[in-house]
Amino acid sequence: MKSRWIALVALLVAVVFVTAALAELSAFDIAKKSLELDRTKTKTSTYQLTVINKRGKKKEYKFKVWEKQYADGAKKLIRFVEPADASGTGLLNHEKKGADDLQWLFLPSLNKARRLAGGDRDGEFMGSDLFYEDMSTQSAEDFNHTLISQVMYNNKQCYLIESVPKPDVNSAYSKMRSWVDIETFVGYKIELYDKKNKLLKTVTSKKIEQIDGIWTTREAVVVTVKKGKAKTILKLLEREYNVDIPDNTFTKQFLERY
Amino acid sequence: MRLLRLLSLLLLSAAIAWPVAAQADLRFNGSLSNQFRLRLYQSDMPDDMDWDMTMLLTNLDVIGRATNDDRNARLFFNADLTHDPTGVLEDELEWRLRQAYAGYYAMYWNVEIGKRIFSWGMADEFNPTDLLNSEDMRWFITRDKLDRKIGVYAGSATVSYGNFSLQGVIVPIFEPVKLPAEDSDWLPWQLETFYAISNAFPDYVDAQEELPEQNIGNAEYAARLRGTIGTVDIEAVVFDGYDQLPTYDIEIDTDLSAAVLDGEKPLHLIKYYQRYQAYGGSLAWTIGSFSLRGEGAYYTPRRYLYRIDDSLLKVDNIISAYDLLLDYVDHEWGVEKPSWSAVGGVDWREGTMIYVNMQYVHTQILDYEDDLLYDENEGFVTLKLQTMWLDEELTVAANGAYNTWQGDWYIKPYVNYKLTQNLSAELGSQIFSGDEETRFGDMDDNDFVYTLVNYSF
Repeated sequence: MKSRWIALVALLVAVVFVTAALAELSAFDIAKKSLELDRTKTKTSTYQLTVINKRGKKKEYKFKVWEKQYADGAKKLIRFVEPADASGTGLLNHEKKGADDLQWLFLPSLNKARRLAGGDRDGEFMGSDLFYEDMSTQSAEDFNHTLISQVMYNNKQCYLIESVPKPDVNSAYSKMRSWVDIETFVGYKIELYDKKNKLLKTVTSKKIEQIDGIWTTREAVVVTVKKGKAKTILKLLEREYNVDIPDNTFTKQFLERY
Repeated sequence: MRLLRLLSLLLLSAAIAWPVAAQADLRFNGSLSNQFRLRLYQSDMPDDMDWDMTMLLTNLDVIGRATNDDRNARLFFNADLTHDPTGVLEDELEWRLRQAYAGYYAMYWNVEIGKRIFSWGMADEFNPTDLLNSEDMRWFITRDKLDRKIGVYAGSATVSYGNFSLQGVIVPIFEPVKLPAEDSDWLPWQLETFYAISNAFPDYVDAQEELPEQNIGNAEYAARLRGTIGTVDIEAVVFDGYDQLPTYDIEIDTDLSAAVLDGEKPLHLIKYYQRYQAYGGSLAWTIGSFSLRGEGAYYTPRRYLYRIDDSLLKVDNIISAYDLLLDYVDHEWGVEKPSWSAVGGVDWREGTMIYVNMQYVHTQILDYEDDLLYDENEGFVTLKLQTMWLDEELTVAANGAYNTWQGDWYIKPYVNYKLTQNLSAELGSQIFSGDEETRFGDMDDNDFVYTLVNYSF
């Protein structure tokens, strides 16, 4: 009788532990949930990009983005609307899982799309603190993730995740640290480290709200550590999820039609 | 031409009226630029340079585009106004409707009709397969390639599937190249010879230009298949149309006295445009930070002129000249030869700091004869270097070309600074060097330094 009670208690304890282990998310799961928070089948966005250099001089750009997810990777079209000398400039990106992206640049002054080297991940986007890599779709599968701890950030309980690019992934960074809300999986802050493992820049979400029930970052500020007072502000002016975007939007022919 | 102007005005009016009526998305952009040139040239005094100043090329460029809400219909127009007081233009002020076309775009096909500028081929600046638009060469190559292109009235239809598309174009009205005037500093030496004949005895030379008759039978055609296979972009092109550069013929009336008595001019200098076909293609791919491009085309026989005997240009009276010319009554002033042209190049970028583009361009006249006015082979190395500073506000760059066969060269170094996002200032020069009878050496006396202010709106 006594041995039966002991066995039953041991079984119950085992069940509790196993259940608890299954309920706890892995670092990969957390990172994936956070990265794919607003990754619907399609979305369109209008952004305002403000680049402030260390002398306080401002440059502002307005651009539209069309994105669509495919089985072998996402396709993205960026079209600049303002200022006048950038108006019409377009960037078409075909992401390929496990391979370099295919990119084309359209300049109105050339009147045709031009193939770009996709290896230039650490090039600055429009002279801002954002790299071209930052403008592309990140996949959780491209990194090894580690849950460091749970911390408080702006009075929110957060997971602190460290993500290191896998050896076969071409990245400008050696690692990233992300502060992710444990309830909503919204990313509040990301620290990005250079190839020498030094802090290169931080991306901070200043304004987050729900659009069509999806948590969306409305405003983010990017600061490159060595640039002093310089910063980049990326504001989301408009966003639509799950809109009908024809496949021919992501073609060179469409890119050249500005 | 009146019909064309009316058509242009109608298209322009539609471009403005339709989007207003349809409440479509209508946008205008443009630029206003003013360039001041200081020309440097060898004076008549030995070892002495001289200069002259020119306020040149004030240019207002406007682009308008309208798209409906469904984004399947579009109107596009581009016009510019140029002021040049140096005599390059017939009138100091010239207005061009460069493009005005309407398009309908369905999922797998589209059609466009109107005045268009096409830009085919994946190489930079030199495109052997980009043959639909002629160029305005009145300022030689000192204006950018897109600025030089002359719009053509065309109908275009494209079918596409996935990464591939097939475009067919018909151009019913041929637009030839715009050449510099006879007294222009930019007139190539090959053309100076024929103008010399005309100018030596203007009372006896009848200069004619024969343009292709404007009918559907004389329309130009072209097709382009393009797509991406794996990581390689490819294009294949066929073209059937007219050489934008004219060729010349001289016809001589054998009875000089009868011709003169009849009040006719006995020497006929005929400028006309040859029909030919071109078959070619291009490709582009990337390896790491490098982009590689190649483009080439084969051209079916076109007429190349023979050199003219110097003795013809040295006589100082019509009677002596005429006696000489009688020996040329049945003379062939040119001959048809096939040719090919190809470009291969690579470009490399290090962030936004450094950009390097290098190409080799080669052209060969096949089945060559030594008496031809043009060289059998012409090969150029072209180089573009660009670096950006001060958060991309300052650009320091140089573009150049070197003829590996004749040794002439061209360079355009410049510095561009963005005063604001809409206003930029540029300081640079364009320098030409080489032997007289070479492409760039011929322009040696036209070196200039310039400043350019550009406002975008």
